[in-house]
Amino acid sequence: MLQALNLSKAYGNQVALDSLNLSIAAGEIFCLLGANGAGKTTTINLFLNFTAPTSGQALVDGLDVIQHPLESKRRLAYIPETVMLYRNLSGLENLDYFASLGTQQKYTRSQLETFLQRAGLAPDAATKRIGAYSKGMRQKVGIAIAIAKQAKVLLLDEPTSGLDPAASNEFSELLTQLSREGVAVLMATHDLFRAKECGTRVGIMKRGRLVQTMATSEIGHTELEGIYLEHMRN
Amino acid sequence: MALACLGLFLALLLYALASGTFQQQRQQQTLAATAQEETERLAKLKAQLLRIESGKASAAGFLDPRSGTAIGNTSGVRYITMPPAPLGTLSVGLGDLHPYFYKLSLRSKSFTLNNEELENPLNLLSGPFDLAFGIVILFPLFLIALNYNLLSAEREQGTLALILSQPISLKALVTGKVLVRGGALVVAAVAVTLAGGLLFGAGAAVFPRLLAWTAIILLYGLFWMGLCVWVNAWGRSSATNAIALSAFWLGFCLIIPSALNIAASALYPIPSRVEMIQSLRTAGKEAQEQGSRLLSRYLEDHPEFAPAPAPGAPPAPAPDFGSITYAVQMEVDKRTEPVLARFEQAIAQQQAFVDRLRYLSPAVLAQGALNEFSGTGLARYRGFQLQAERFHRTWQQYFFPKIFQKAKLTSGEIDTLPRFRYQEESLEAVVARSAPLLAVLTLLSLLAGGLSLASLRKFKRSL
Ligand SMILES: Nc1ncnc2c1ncn2[C@@H]1O[C@H](COP(=O)(O)OP(=O)(O)O)[C@@H](O)[C@H]1O
Ligand SMILES: [Mg+2]
Repeated sequence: MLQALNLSKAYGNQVALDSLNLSIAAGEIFCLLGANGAGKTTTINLFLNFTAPTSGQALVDGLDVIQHPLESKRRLAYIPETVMLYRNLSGLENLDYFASLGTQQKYTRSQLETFLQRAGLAPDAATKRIGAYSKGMRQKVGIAIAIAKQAKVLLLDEPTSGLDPAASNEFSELLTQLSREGVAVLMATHDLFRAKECGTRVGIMKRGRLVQTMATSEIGHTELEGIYLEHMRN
Repeated sequence: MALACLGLFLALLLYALASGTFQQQRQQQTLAATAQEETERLAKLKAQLLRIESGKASAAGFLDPRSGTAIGNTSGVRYITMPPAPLGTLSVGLGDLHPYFYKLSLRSKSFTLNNEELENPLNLLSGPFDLAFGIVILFPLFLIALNYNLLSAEREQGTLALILSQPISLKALVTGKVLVRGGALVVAAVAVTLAGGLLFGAGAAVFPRLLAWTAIILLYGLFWMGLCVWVNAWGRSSATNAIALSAFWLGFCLIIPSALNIAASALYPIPSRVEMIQSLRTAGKEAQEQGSRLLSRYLEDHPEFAPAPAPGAPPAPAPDFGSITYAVQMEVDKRTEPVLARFEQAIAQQQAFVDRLRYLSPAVLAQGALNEFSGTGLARYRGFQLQAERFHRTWQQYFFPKIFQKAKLTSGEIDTLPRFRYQEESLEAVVARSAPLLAVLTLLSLLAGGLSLASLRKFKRSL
């Protein structure tokens, strides 16, 4: 569903991403680990066509994101570190706006409420202005947008950093549920524990290179932490 | 916020329309009053002549009421009037600078058709508060207010990332936003224009003119919307955008027009009023001194106008006061011709200068085109001036022979005194004059639109 083919990005002399080859299937949750500046955001931005690769290709559902910018975006949803929404509008109104941008179709109010509910937002919060939302609530609106869009691919850039453990856990469960429905998930994160819990695979990035990938079913928590720290040390 | 903006804009436009309509109606009232005064005066004159002709009244007195002098200069004079501009209610234009009626007299042209008060005949700065002002000056201001932070606000709020992750191109997003916000203002401007033109304009003849107004509003709006998008695509902050767009507004709507005004009057100054009056006085005094000599010379040139000699008496011209006066007036006209010509020339040179440089500002272009299609541009007033001059000569030529021959007018002749009929300029002439304005305005709009789309492409890459 998501594919990187020798994907590279350089900013001047600075190589942000160095020939990444990666394939994420439907129903998989791939967690991208790595220090700050490793190239995780760059990877996600390349899939979003926010920035053009220096070489290589990013494919969404087999579509080159440069050649099919709109078609590829129709299939994906993006949740950044903080989902920034219109502060003066309610969660429901924000969802309405972004869902109509995302699908070019109009949902009824009850449909929109269902999406928010499935994303775990309390019903009475839906009509409150975003200005009064916590970070966790905004992330849920982000998930609701993905659900409304029926996205096949979810791109998440450190979506749980700053969330309390309970909220973080709730968020991970939402991801697991979506992946069970066949969504391919690529998530950049610093949370090794969550990565092991909900991820199907983890990849460790270092200075733009994906240095190691492994299936979470084959390793334990301590083992993963050990490998990660080992990579960071040298 | 956007709705409040739209409401305020609409209110200002309606107020501008009311103000223009008020000015136009004042003109109409003035014209109606002159027409009524003329009719009543001529009826009174006719009745008086009838009484004299039937012997019920005497013609004795300082001046015979039947004489050409009395009728052609006072009791029987007509007004030379130009009907209100077809869409004068939308644009006062130069209407408050240039005369739209004159009271005839047999005196010199420079005295009768006096317009030397004209110091700034082109007045590029939209002066009066009319709908044209609302469109040329206020419309871009409101477009800027609604669109200056089109993209910058999204970026500052952080919502741009989420928007750009949706299957919508930046071009479609921005075009949609600017067209919705700008479109509301355009619709308001066009609606007020059409309402004003249909309610207060000169009947069905204004349809093509209203169509042109609509096109100008669209083009001009497109130009400013394009500029807003372009500035947003620079990727600077909302504050920077606001300052940059205000600077464009200031430059196009105020600085360039006033600079052109100043340059035109500095390079080609209109002869001063004092100088004009002085030369008129001198010419008058000199001509007066040679009064009787001028008359005999005139009668030598035009023996047919000489009073019929009494049978048996020697054919010596009798230099009466009235005849000398008009011989003098004609001489004054001849002598002041160069001064008037300099006045005309200065206006023509200013016009030519501005014609070349008005392309620097879409605001000047739009104002010019709106004035043209309203009938309040310079050309229509100059055309009226020429027609008035021609008719003034007709009037003189009608009366002077009668005066020189000491002929008496009859009551029947009062109905057949020459009458001025204003020849309205053809729509083709208006279109021909405005075509280059519209062409360049179109070009500028396309340029602004193209520039904005091209810069959006760059903006996306720099995200
Ligand atoms: N717009 C940019 N211009 C220049 N360098 C950039 C830009 N964006 C990211 N980089 C560089 O690319 C590298 C990778 O950054 P990033 O992908 O944001 O890392 P991560 O998300 O893993 O923390 C960093 O060294 C960063 O400085
Ligand atoms: Mg990052």
